[in-house]
Amino acid sequence: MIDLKRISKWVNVGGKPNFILKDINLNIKEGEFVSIMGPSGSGKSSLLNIIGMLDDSSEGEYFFLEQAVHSLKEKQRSQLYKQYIGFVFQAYHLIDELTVYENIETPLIYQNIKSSERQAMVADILDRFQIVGKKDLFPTQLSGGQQQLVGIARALIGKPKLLLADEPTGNLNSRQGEEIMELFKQLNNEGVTIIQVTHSEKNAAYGSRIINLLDGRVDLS
Amino acid sequence: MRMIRSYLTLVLRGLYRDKSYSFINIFGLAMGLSVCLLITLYVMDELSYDRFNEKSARIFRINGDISVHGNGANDIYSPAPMGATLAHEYPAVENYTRIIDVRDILVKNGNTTIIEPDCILADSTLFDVFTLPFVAGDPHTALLRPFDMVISESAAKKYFHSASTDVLGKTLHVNNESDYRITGIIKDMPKQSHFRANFIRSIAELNYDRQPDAWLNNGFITYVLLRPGATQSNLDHSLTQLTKKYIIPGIQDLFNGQTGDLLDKKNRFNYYSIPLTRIHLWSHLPSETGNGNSLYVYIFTIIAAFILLIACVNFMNLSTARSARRAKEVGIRKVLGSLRSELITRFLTESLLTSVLAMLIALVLAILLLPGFNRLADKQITFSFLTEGWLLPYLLGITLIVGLLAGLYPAFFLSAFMPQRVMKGNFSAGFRSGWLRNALVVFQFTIAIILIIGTMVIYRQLDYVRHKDIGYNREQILIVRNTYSLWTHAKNFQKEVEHLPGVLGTTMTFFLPTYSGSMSSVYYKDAALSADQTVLLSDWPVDANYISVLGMKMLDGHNFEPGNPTDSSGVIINETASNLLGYNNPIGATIYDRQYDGRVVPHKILGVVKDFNSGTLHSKIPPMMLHLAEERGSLAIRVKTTDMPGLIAHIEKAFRAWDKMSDQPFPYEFMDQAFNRLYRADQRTGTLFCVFAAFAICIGCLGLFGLVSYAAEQRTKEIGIRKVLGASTGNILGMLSKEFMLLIVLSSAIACPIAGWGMDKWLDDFAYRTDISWWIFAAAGGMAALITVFTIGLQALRAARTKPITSLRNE
Repeated sequence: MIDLKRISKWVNVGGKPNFILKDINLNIKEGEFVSIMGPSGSGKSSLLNIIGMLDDSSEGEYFFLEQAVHSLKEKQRSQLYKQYIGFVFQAYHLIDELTVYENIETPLIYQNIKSSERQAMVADILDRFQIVGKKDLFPTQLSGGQQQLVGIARALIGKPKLLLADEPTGNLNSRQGEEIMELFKQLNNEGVTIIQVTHSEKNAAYGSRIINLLDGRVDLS
Repeated sequence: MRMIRSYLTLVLRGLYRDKSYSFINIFGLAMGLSVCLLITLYVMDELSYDRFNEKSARIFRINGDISVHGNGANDIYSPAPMGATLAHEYPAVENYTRIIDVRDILVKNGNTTIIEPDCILADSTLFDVFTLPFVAGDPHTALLRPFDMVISESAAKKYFHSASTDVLGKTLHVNNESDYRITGIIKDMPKQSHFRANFIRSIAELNYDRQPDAWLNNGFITYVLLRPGATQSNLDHSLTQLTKKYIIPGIQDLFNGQTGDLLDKKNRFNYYSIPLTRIHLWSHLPSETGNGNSLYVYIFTIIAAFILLIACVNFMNLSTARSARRAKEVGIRKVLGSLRSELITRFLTESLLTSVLAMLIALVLAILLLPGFNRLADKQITFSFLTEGWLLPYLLGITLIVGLLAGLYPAFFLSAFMPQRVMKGNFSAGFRSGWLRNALVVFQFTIAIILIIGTMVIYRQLDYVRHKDIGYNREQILIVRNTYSLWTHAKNFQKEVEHLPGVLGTTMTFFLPTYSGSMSSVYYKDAALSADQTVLLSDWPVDANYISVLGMKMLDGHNFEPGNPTDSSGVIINETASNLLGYNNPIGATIYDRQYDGRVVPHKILGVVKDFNSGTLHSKIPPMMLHLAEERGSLAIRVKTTDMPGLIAHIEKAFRAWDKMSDQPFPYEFMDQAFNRLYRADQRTGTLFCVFAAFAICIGCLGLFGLVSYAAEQRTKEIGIRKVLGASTGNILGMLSKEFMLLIVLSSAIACPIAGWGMDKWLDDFAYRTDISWWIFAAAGGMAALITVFTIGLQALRAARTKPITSLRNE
């Protein structure tokens, strides 16, 4: 599903390239649950952003479902992204001005899905996550765990094949964190490919594979 | 002191660091202030008219409002005995003076003759009523005898190279006719006077006293000076009594008591007063051409206030907006122990300093713009702090008010931040939903849209004026003015011009349609001259070519035929007159008038000419009568030539050949130019409106630009999230613009009725006018929307294009 070949990312600091990622080769198959680990600044988030097409690599090739992402035009890439990828953030990143319902509905609007269909889809997912009662609340009226639940619901509403999560439990207490991880496992069992960035060994253990990053390289030791 | 210095350094450093913000803020404010300043100078100038007269509060002019059988005139003239009678018989009146506005005279100066435009005839009491200080001569005796003349200082210097007593007793040769003895020299009149006089002749040269029915002829502009304590209503009461005592008996005398329906309520013989200080702005009678308009003074004052407000609003908006960026600084300062009051002082100092800076720039701008503004507004305003005592306090006051007003909100708003909340970075939540800011934006756009609509309506009306069928053809007509000076040779000159190649025809009369002014005479529908058969008609002396040369159309009957003897007393009337007279078939009907010697003269109606506009479209077409007469005022020449300069040279040569007595400059113009001159004031208003609108829009846009940057900055996080959720650049652009578009729709909804009402009032000033079509509103709204899109497009695009991860970093 995901095939990274010699991916590097750098920024120029004072004229010299400063490598964030160097020579990453990575292959992830459909149905996997991968945890990316590593100390702060090791390039975990950058790698996730590149996989999620939110950022370009400076060098290397990236194939997603056999398509060469690195040579796609912006519009095609955005098309691909909208269709297959969902994103979950550590800080939830819900839109404060929108209700829970509207937050979850937003990606569907951008996919030009009809209003009646959207209603049904949002109702489904609210039901599934058991947050129907909260649908008219605003994010600030929810606890952190509930907000993240909404964040995940929003990421899943478009039925993505790939779910990317950047420290999804980083702002949660351990009990809420466990619930989220259980949810991820369950989603994975239903066939969603998941890549998560995490600091926690315990959370990483939910996954089927662990990739360790150190100073921008895959640490094979 | 050190405290203030440290503030100043910090403020300047802050302004420098945020260059684009500072530019928008200071320059926007400066622009607003300078325009506001210019308009204030303009308004003050307009309001100062005639106030140089020390007794201005006690001076009134007597207007006459006469209407008989559906036609008449409300104008500035009153009968000759009016002033003296008021002063002698009515205790409220202390003194009076009368003026006749002569305008152009020819003054001989050595070997050349010069046309002088500002000549009046006046009573010797002129200088008791008006404040016209003498440089030389005695004001009490200066205008007592016929052919006495008082001239202005600049005229004295021009003709005698001196303005001292040695000029007194010298003479000036006027109109190639008479010598006038200089009996006084006055200081040049201030420009802010509703009448102008460089040459003041004694009114004693007119033999008005011999007129039999002096009370029934309005020919004099009468001013009265009230006694201290007397009021205008005292004066008007006196005028009512005077009318009963002299005017009505005069009419009864004229008809030997058989007044018929003449004294009924539907006819008017009213005289009323207007305060001197109101004449310039509030009086728009037919014979007044140079007056201002109170409507414009109001409108411009409001515009000035609005432009200033818009600039202040920008300042407030941008300062608040920028506070997002500065919130962290405030937080740190608070943590470091700064008191809230200190922060408020700091922000107020900052905004005051900015407004002082803006005012300095505004002053420079205003001084630079003043010459252009003077040209636009046809003014001679100067910038002097010394003579205009109000200017300096006014400037300081405005600076202070603007500084405080603009600074207060940000100061209190910013200083109220809770430090820990601010420093955490999520301070933005509270002030995105700024209804105040939205209201301010709506306010700005409402003004802008009103101004756009105003400009469009004015230009449309001017366009209408240009293209309306005015009943005559003003193209390709050359007018030689002032052919009076050719005396009896005028006809010879005309004949000679007629034979020049390229000349299609000529007509000689002063009464061309581009002449504005009304003069009605009394006519009767019956030979017995009964009172209820009277009509007032404008009576123009013309020659037989008049109608054909000016391209007018005959609707009925025939034109004058010079060979036909009955035509010499025949007349041609216009449609309006035909309607007023009410004959089924006017051709062949006869109307009568009474000569000075009592003779009754019949006039057969030969034809009806299609209505043509005389003067501007501000006034209605009067009922009119044309009769054959030798009137030598000017020569209109219809031309068709490829060599216009050559033809003009030929005409000038002929003019010079017959112009034996004077050597005036060849006074010619095209009728088109004369026509356009009639609308110069309207044109000027249009231009001023347009310029003000442009300024208001510019300043508004600067603010909008700032606001959008702010909105984008505020919403970077949201934009980032939305992009991650799949929003395209277009989606984001739409989202950012939508809010402002809604505000524009709202602004249009508010602006349209206001502008529609106001401009309808303006149009009402024209007797012939366009409508305000719905598309003007649509176009104005569309334009505002377009300007908005243009202003915000770039900023919004930039926001939409940023990569989402930059705004979503957690660190």
